[in-house]
Amino acid sequence: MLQAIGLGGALAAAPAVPQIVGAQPRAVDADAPPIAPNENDKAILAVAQMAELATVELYNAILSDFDDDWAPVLAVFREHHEAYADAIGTMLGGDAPNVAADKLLEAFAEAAGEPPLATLAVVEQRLSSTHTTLLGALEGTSAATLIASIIPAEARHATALGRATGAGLGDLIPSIGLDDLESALAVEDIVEA
Amino acid sequence: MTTHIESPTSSLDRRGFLRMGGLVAASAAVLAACGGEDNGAGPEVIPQSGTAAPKPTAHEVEVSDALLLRTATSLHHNGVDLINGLEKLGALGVVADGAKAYREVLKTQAAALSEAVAGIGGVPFEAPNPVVNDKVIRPALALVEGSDSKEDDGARLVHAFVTLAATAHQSIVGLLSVPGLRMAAMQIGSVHAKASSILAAVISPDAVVSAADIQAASPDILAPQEPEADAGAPLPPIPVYQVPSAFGTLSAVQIVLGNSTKTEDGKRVQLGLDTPSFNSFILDGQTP
Repeated sequence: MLQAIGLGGALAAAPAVPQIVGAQPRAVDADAPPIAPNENDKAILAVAQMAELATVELYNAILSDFDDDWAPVLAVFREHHEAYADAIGTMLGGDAPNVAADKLLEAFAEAAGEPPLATLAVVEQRLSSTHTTLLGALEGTSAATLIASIIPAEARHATALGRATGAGLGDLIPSIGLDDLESALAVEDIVEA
Repeated sequence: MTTHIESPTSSLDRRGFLRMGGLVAASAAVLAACGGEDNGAGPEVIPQSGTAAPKPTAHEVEVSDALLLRTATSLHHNGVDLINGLEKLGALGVVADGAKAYREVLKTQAAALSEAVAGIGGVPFEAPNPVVNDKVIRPALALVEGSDSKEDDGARLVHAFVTLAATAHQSIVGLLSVPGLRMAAMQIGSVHAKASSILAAVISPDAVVSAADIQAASPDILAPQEPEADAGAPLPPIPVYQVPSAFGTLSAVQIVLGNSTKTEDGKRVQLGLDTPSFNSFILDGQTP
């Protein structure tokens, strides 16, 4: 059931490279990168916001039937994701989709019934890696700075939830010292191409 | 200046990380305005249209991608030295196992960053950052050595430094000119954030988030109260959390170190660990 969000590894081989118009190899001929989001960045930010809003829905679903010491912590994490969606939406202004990603919602629905903390640990890790991958396609520094501020927080969410499910240091910290991005979602895993 | 990127969105494993460095042509891009000389808090995000002002400088320093990655490299060597120093003092406390394991990760990250620097045409700097060493590491180790809670101070110092490493990588994202390098920075920065979270869990197992955050998210829940500082008493430790805030912040990492029985030299003091800035960048041509 969790294959769709990767707990079963079915999507582990999915391409982690977002296929977004404008994100293809390019040559820059300028003295400095743009600051404000360009059209390419807006498309990426829209995907990121939709993923965050879907994650809020996942937390809502889990918290609606969750009586555990972790419930207050999960409520905080849910607020964090709302804050990410808000921040991205603010940056996008009128271009913000402000809707949850349908494809992620479907995947999350399939995961219903699985251990909540384990599910959330996987989702948080995948979100963090996904944002890191998206960062590699963002051209403007404002959007890059915003997404870069979300990545470490979601990595921390994943780690805290992972520890709660019994993961050890070796499971949580890659020995190579960097996120290999294998768990990153492809854009087509989040929205219709 | 022309910067060619083979694929700014490539997923990077360790090999890819190194390979990417070779794909990026030599770049001396100068980037968006940097933080102040001393605050180290990184850039403020000020909405602005158009492109960044070209070649901002301070103290006639050109902030290039190579400089930023070289400086990040040096921080990893500082981290290794810090853990070595605390180990010698017998002051790693409850994080001893994790710190020793992470020391090896820091070395791996330093090597990867050095290769990335070389890959963009820069000269690696494979040594500790001398300013960080003088302003942070040595004074902090001295305070730990004289502390009457040496093991707790040492454990918290490791946590604080790893948190600083996470912050430092986040802070350079807005300064790096190439999206692929920004991604690479956060591939490492996110690992530092995870390590910081784990170390916080070892130091304060029940403190995932702050009581204030719980209260804000669930007003109907009576969150456990955090102890209030006793006026006049020695400074208590700064609470650490696995997830201290909604967003990664660029503010200085706060820590209290020192001896609670002293009132002069060596007494408990609060330090703010800043990310490297103009006074601590590893400049072109700088040697260890």
